Amino acid sequence: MTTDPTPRLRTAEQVGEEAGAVLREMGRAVVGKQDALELVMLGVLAGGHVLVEDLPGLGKTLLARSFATTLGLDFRRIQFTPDLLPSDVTGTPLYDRRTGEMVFHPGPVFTHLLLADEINRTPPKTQAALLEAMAESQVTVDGETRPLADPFLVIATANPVEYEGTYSLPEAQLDRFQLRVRMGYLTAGEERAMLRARIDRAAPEAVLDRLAGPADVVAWRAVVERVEIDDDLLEYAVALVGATRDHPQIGIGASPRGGLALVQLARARAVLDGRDYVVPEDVKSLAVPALAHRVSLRPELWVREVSTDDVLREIVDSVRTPTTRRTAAAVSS
Amino acid sequence: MEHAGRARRRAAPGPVVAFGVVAVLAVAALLLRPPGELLPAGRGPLGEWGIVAIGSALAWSIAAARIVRHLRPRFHSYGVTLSPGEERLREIAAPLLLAGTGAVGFLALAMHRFSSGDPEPAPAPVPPTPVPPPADGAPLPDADPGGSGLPTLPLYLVLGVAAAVVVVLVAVAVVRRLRRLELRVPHHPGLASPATGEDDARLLLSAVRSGRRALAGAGDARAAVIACYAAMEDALVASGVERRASDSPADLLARAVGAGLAPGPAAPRLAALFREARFSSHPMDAAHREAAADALEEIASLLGDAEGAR
Repeated sequence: MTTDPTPRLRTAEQVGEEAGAVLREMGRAVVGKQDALELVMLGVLAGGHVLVEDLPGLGKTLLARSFATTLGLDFRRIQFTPDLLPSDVTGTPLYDRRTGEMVFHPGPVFTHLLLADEINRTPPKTQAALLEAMAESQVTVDGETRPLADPFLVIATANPVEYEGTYSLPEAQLDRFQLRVRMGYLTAGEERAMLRARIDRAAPEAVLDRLAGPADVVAWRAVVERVEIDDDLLEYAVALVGATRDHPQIGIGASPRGGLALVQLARARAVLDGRDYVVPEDVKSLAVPALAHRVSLRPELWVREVSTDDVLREIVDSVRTPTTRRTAAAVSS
Repeated sequence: MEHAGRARRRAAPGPVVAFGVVAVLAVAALLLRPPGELLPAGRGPLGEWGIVAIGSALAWSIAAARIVRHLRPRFHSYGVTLSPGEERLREIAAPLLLAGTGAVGFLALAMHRFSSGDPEPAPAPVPPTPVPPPADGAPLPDADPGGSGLPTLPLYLVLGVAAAVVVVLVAVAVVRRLRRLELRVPHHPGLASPATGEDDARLLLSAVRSGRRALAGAGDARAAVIACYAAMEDALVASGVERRASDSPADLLARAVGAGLAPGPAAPRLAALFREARFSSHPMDAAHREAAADALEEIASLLGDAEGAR
């Protein structure tokens, strides 16, 4: 696999094969989580940031570290705590006694892949510092703007069951994550395989091979930008987003940024599948991960334990997909 | 959104219907009450047919509960959603209404003072109102001993006819409402399609013929491939596979496999050709057309075998 700094021009099929190889390699470390791995890979290809939300001990940190290793990305980790300051994330200028000048010491955000572990444990001020960096791919400290690395990817984890000493991310900040991934428990067979693999390798974690580099990831993203999408599928994406705004159980629907994320992720899925065009399955399968964290249910539903994922699934099952034959308007245009 | 519109259409007449039902019940109660004061103490409005009325009320409650329980999961697949307020109202009102019908009959029985043989103390005599004698010497009408001038049998006939009319009106209203919501009672999952095997075979053949016609023409290869896939869709539907508006090609094929119609590797192949023809700007040529034709023939023979085996 190519890891040279000047990548060649690739086709969608080639990128699909390369990304597939990365996923297979990661499957050696992260057992039985193929769906979650694929979703995070879509975030990598689509140039977005990923929120992994689930219970402790399900392999969230392992997943992020495995991506950094196999993609050959510079990896940093921040354990978010209540006393973490914005400067602990972005960096701070310090006085250099030898030169007598203030020298900027970059924070952990200056990396390719940043694992923001338990992002909901830190106050909103520190969360905002990271989320600003995520949105703009740059950091401004003391009036000076510094660009972040390319590619820059944040994988944030959040524990949804603990409320004591946590600060839930507000909707506006959740909106900055391109997709939300849930890990879920392993099946009995997968759990047995995971335990067997741990015993067989006689080491805490599998040692993964590096199969790509930062330049490859940038090249993959360029291929995603060349993926075409039919007007009828754009209408379908708009209908899905619009349905979240009209649904009686949803108080705040998905933003236009949600529609952008959905379409970009669908293009990434097409590339992962080796295609340079989007099909209805791409959009439909990504509606829940791309939109569920961007909507707020009405308060009376909170006590009934209805999740946004359930409501989004209902919407996906009710919105009409593009017809088999082209509409008259599409044919004439 | 479509189903949101449905929800709005459903919500609008609810209060009107509820008000109407309450008003009709109130008028009926006033008309049927026994003569005397407005709130008679325990004489009971049901007379000697009280047991029948109470039994009917209980039977109605049980039957309604069973029908609702049987049909609700089948309608649920249409995804008709209520707002949280409507849902809460429904959850409270449904058991209350069902229990209320039984409770009314029970209370009527419980509050009724059955005659036990002991003569009740006669009510205080009311001084008769002097009636002026008729000028022409005609006899006075007899006092009504039963409180009603109607004979018993015709009264029950009238009530029976009225009940039948009400049942027919309710049935018509329910059917019209289902049609307005574009709903129909879905088939029971375990039951076979009502169409006969011969009908299925004819529909299947017709779908395959339409695909062959599209492929035989000298027109656009892209249109031919799309028509070919549409023919496969129609053939699957003719074979009993349910098609939904929210289906992607993968959903339809998965449902076909789930229904025991496994159209083999040709179906995914044709679906992939269709996706490329329908959603990409790739040039489509004779090779695509031939591949689609081969896939359709393969599917037709597999589905034909499956129909023959039924």
